[in-house]
Amino acid sequence: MHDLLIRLIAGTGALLGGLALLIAFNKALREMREALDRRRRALLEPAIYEYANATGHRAILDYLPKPLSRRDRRLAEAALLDAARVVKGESRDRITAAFEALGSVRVSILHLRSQRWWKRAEAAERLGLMRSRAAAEPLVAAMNDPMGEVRIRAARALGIIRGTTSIRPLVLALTDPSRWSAIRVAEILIGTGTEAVDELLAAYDSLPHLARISALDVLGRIRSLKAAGLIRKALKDPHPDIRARAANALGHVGDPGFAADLTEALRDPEWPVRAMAAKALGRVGGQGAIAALCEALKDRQWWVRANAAEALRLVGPAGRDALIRMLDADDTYARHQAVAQLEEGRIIDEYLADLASADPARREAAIGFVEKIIRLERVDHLTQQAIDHAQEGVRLALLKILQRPA
Amino acid sequence: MTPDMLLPEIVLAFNRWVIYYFALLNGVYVVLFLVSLVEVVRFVKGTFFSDYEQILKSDMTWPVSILVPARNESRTIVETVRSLLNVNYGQFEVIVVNDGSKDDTLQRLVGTFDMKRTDKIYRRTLPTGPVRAIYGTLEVPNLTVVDKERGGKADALNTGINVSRYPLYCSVDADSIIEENALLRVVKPFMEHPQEMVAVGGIVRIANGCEVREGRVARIGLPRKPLPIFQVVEYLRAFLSGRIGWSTLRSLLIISGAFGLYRKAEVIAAGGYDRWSETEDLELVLKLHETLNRRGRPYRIVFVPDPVCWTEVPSTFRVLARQRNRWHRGLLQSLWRHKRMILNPRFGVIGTIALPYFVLFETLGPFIEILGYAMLALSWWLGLLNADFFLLFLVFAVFFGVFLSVAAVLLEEISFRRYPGWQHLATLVLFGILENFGYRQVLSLFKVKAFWDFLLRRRAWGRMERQGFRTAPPPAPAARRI
Amino acid sequence: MGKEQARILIVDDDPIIRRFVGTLLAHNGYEVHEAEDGEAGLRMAASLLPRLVVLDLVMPYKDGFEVINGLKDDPSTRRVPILILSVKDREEDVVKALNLGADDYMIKPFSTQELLARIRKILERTAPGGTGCTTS
Repeated sequence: MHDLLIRLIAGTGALLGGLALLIAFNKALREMREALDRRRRALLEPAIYEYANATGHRAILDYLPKPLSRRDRRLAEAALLDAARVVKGESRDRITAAFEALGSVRVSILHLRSQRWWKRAEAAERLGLMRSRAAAEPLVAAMNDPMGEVRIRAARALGIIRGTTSIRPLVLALTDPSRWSAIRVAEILIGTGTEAVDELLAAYDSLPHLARISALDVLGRIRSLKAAGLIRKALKDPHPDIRARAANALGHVGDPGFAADLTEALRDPEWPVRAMAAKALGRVGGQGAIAALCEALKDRQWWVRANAAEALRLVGPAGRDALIRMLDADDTYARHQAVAQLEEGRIIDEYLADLASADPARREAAIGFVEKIIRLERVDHLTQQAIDHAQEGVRLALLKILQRPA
Repeated sequence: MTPDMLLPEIVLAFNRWVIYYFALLNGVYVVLFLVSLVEVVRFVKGTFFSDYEQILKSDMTWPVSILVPARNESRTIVETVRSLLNVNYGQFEVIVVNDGSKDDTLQRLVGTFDMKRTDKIYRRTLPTGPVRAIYGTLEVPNLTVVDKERGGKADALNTGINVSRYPLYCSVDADSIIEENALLRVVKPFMEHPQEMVAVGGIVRIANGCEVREGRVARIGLPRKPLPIFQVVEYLRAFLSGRIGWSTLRSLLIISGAFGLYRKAEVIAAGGYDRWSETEDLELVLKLHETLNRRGRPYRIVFVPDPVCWTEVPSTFRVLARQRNRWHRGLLQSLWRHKRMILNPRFGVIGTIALPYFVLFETLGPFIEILGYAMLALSWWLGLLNADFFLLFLVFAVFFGVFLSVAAVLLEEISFRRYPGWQHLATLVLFGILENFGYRQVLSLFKVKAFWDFLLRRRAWGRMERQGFRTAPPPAPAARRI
Repeated sequence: MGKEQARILIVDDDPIIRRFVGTLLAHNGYEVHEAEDGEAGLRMAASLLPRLVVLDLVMPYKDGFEVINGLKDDPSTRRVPILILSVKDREEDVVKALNLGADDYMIKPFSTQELLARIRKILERTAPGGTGCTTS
């Protein structure tokens, strides 16, 4: 037992000493390397940036010490990558040429076939920053990589290099279970604009559930009317998630002609669909939407009411008039929502300014309006305004109304 | 058998069991450390390029409501809100819930941001205490201040959940400092696993000794007083080799109240925060595990090893004792409340490993430790003590403790390296050694005391003593768990 | 480049921008000074009285908008022209900066030739003697 303990102690002690040494050694080595690199880079950098900003024909290698050491090459690459993020135009092209001349593009292309996935992903990302057309072919090949992370970075890089990218693999990549991947793919697709619409329309029926949702998002954001037919059909999909996203997409496309479809969606049995439809109606606008939105203010679900009220505020003067009419609604929630939106839209403040108006008719109207809101017991905003409204006349008038017995 | 023969028997048997217990405990620690090591290396390798800019720019990133419960935070509240409003994120709102402060917390906010009372309506999804008023401002459209009567932190958070608009919410302590990219870091897991992710926590670091300027950590440093330095080492161990390990094993039980991101719908489904709990953050995570497991829905609660938030820790024994007393009572309350989950295979790793670990080591551990010292004295008195063996065992125990502390420092060195200087490293290692001679034992005593208080159901609510960030003696937080 | 060396102050928290733009401007015959945050920027502007400030918007402690206000509030720097160089590409940010008193706005990533041309233009427009933007 003693022997065992002594051995254990010796073992732990050795481990401990080893660990401490490891930490110290690792830190010393890293710091030394970093310090040397920093100093060397400060030496090289002016020449590199001078190259990037120059207009002549001298290549990058003429600006760097010869023969070029591996460390100098690495540091030059790092300096150029940093610069690549901040410039565009001619300097940007010169930086790309420098990556080609330094062999960085070639090395990164080799890394696209590395055993380790993060090396492949990093290579794809760097190639995107380098923007060399020589990398286009290998990146297309990398779109078939087994790791989703590599595929997406390759796609992005391709998007940067060619201005556009192979759309079909991207549409398929929408099926990636990670929303983060799907979002990045969607962003690339949205960037390609109308080009993606045809592919998405063709592929939609064969896509799995989550990918359809992403596809609807993308179609909505590209705002192509060509997709309207499909989105409208999706509004009748058996799955409520799809119906909700479709309603949202119609809102993004934003054509007033969709008001009828969305009004119908306001009667959907599932509340998320109704909430989305209300929100979308606020975006598409149009007179047809207002009656439906007023009705939606009485919905059982809080979110539908809230979205409908906000939509009414956003659809313009007609919506605003509807909100004012809603102050007399027989539904408490509807009345309170109306007050909140009238406050948010600063319509209450417009009436308040009229309290000090020279025109007696406008004054009367304002008083009537304020009294109505007081009867609804929503007086926080009014009380605040009675204290610090800019006009003294308004403050006094408001105070008088507020102090009146109910 | 006569009593004087029975006693030595008991003492010897106890000593034997203590050795088994010690071996098991350290075995768990080593496993957790190794799991964390693998995870940290993977994490560092996998984040060669941060995608934060893309998350920031994408308008498909989920919007977040930041909830700040505040009670008597007048000195720091404006600074905190400013720094939160400057956080790097696309769409977010900040909701400060003034929990019946006795100082001028509310007035400061109202004065600084020109806040006005509004008739904003919200949904009372979770039952809460009465709300006095809601304030908004045209200057900063995404800032809302809710003024409510005092109801405790849990009640304030529930009110914040009710008022918030977005599907994710982030709870933030009013006196902690959030890193600029903190939200982007913790939202990433939600983006990666949108269906399953329910809650995400991050590393909380210690702000004592750091230079804080306008709600940002301008220069990282170590505290000057020894007590906070012990806590720095302790936090490194708890977060880097504790929570990362548990998170990888899919059984993370604690997300600090100081900073955590949650899916609102799931929190509401679980009933929100509990007023009875001393540590509502721990209770919430346990409750989420229980409800989600019962519904049989696949879910994830994870920890991102990125540092996200800086917070002040107690610098006096008195305040530390109060803080730890509360944490430990909270743990005991929650374990008692969820006792059906313990050793219940239905709850997977949580039921069979994580919770038993907390019962066996976190709650009973201090007793066994204190009892061990008593038995030691008894062994010596009975002449049973084998001095050689005892000394060797002691040396081994200390060595192992030091090893675990230093190992946590190693994890920090290979990953985030937030403490840049050599003197930082030396201090951390030195205190990693020193904490085995006194600090840990004191923590055990605190826990024993907490157990006693728990049994007596005493609710000694720690009153907070707060100072501003920039004033010399650091404030004394009580409402937080690491 | 045989002209007098116009003094330009670059205020940006990103060292790459400072060094890159610094090299560019120095190479084109300007006298370049760098400040790494808004506060240092204001301090240096007051003491150096540059012919132009190249200013970033997103910076710790004092953002670019505050720096514009600070420059305009100080009588000695009120007339110093400001060129914003920022990643912020939203219309409202551009309008806000120009309304506060910035003279020009460029979005990162930027073209170096365009930056030089705009700087040249601003300096011509505000040449000393005409409006007296530098103290003689």
